[in-house]
Amino acid sequence: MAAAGWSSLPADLLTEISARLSSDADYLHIHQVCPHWRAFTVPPSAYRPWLVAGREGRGSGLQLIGEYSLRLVRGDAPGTGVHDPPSDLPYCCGASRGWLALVDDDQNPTRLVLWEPLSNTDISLPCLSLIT
Amino acid sequence: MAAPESGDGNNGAARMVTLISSDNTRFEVEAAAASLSQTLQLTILDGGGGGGDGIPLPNVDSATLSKVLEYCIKHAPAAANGGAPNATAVDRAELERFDNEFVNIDQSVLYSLIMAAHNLEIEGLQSLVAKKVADMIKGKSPMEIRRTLGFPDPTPEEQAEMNAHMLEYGWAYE
Repeated sequence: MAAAGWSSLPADLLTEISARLSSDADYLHIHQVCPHWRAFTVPPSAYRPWLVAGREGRGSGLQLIGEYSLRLVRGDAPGTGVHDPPSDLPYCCGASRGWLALVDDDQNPTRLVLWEPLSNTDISLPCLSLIT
Repeated sequence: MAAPESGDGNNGAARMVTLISSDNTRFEVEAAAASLSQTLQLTILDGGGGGGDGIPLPNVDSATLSKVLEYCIKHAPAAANGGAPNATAVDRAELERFDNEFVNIDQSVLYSLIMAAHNLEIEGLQSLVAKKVADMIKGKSPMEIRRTLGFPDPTPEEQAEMNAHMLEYGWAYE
């Protein structure tokens, strides 16, 4: 009886439970538990682009964004819907939750922008500089 | 959320209400505790549940209701203080200890509790059980989640569909 219950849990309760998970693996796993859970949970690839790997290693400094292979992993269609990065912000200095932090120069950056490859949204941030 | 008797109840004894479970067991409880339920709070503010009347709860059996009320009685003082801004660290630690212990129960009871909290709109209880279930799910495979929550073994169709999803998301298992 209880099992029949969990497998038809009200959608808002499923949402509340899944909101308390933190890893992509967990989101993926609850999405596969049963048809009802599949219908009311969102697998990570549906909303999160994945930065897969750098094409070549460098000793130090920031990587040029073009040196990364940027893929949205969705089924067997890698790269679906991912925009090209802004050409005047070639360096990536961080990534979180689908957003990339881009700067214009790896030594003396003057611009810092958060960029989201799926929607091509960018948000300019104040650029931090070293205190000398 | 304010206790309903705070406006009119300076007559000593706390106001009591009667709740009736689906299997016809009567529970007498302080209105302040029952009012942790948004649904019950409305009825109680309307003057319901007192005397011989009682509020019928056709969706909640007596075992579940007794557990729900245990939670409400424990949390009522803090809730009456508006989330207990002046609670001491000791009080808060005690509530946290109670909560952890409270949800350390079988999945079938957790299910009854989260459904009752959902029906009765007891936000704190719903969120407590949701967190417990999420903790039980973390780090487990779909099959392990099914076993943890007492799902029956998948039918051949369900198994085929799960396998298809494993393939679709194969990259995540590399």
